[in-house]
Amino acid sequence: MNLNELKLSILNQYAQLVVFDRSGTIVDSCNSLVDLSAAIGRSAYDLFPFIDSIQHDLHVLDTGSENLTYWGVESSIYGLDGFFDFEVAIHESADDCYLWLIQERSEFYRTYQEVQGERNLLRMQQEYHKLGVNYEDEFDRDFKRRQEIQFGKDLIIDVDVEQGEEDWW
Amino acid sequence: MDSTKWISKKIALLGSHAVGKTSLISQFVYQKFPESYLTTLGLKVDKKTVEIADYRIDLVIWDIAGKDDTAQVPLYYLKGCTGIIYVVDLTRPSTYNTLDQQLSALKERVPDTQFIVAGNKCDLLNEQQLAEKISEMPIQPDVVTSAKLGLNVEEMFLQLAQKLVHQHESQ
Repeated sequence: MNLNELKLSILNQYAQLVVFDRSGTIVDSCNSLVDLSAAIGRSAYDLFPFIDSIQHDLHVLDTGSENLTYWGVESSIYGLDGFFDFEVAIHESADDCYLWLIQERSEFYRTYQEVQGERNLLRMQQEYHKLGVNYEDEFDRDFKRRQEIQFGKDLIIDVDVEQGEEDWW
Repeated sequence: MDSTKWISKKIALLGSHAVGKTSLISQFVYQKFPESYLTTLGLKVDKKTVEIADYRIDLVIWDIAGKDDTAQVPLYYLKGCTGIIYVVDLTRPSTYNTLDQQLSALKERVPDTQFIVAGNKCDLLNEQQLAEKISEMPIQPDVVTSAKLGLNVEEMFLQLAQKLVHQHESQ
């Protein structure tokens, strides 16, 4: 396997290209994330609510504007649930078609979601603290849940470390 | 003969982080209140069909990640939006202190859009606290909601759908 093949095999796990024409009909897909063979000839607008919701924005691509990019989209693509980055562009070799690049980023965004969520809750708590109010129900539930998860993670790490030490000795 | 007219409308929910945008959508679309808080990162799209008079409307709902300043939302996210629900958290003044400025800026960016301002989390306040909070807001909310209890949630979306039908008929 040469480097390009190796690179492609890695990218295949994270990215898929779908081509649909101006009426929304799916004409091609590389099927690396989800198999859309059965969807060829069907309308992307009917199958994907997200694509349906941007169909009236696609014409801006004809004016030479930048590609439409949407990051961190939580969606389900033909049964594949997760977080994706989407980019829609005019197909360079078939300008009557759009190219939809799907990048699977669930692992990254789930970690980010956890961190961002904690930051948001902390900001809320700080604001309530300043106001001198306490909406116990609102926070305690989430903070306790997060603390329990963290405790579980720490425990797993401790056990792994201890296990690792035992293996070492 | 069935005289029902089908239309599809893109709407978006905007507002600061953790005001309850996702919970309002979840309550409206799935009749469920999420048990734990999971922040929306980029966006999430849901769809629900409602009926108003002779119209069957596919509401395509964009749940956009919370921003304190809506100028941070790319314009092409808002393009094609016929309705926007601007959500504030009634318990947190930081989410509504600049409501008037946020709304004016939004109306300039997407002039033909129908707006509804929702004051969410009313279940955390008693009647007197609620009245105090509303009086200190720069703009009164069109509707007071509780995503947790499902209070006024369906009504709010239907109110927006009604506005969209009026706009559609006048075009």
